[in-house]
Amino acid sequence: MSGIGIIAAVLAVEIKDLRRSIIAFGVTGFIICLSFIIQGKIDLSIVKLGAEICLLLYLVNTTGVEKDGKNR
Amino acid sequence: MMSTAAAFYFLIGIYCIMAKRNLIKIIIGLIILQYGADLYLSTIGFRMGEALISLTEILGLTTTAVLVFLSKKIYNKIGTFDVSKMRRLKG
Repeated sequence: MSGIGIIAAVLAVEIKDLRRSIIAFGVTGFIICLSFIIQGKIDLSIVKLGAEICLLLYLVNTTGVEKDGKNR
Repeated sequence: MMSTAAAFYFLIGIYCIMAKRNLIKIIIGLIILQYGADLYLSTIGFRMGEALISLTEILGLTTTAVLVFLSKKIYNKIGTFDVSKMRRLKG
């Protein structure tokens, strides 16, 4: 489980395309939430998931600012 | 196991902050670093851990929102997210 999260974090850092990078970053946050659930901290994982969804929406909105669809 | 993963998240975040030039990537690195700190705090399991993680969660969210807002403003002014091209800020 943690390995998938680490791979997703590396992909989020290394992928050139910002939108794909943000998707990989979302996967990382989801894996962190699952890690909290495994540790038995359900309330923390719910807070984390809510914050993660807000952050992802804002980041996707921000990367949509650029007019051309080219890789950044 | 979890503390090793937390250390990896922390290192990935530090690498991203130090090596990347894109503002959004730097913000992502900052959040991944925060994930590492949260995971470590939840792993060591001391008494105030959950309250502390909730606090860092909310503070991290607000800080990141401010950073993304500022980077959007910078993009509207300069036209790029690349920090090496932001020479107008030089003194």
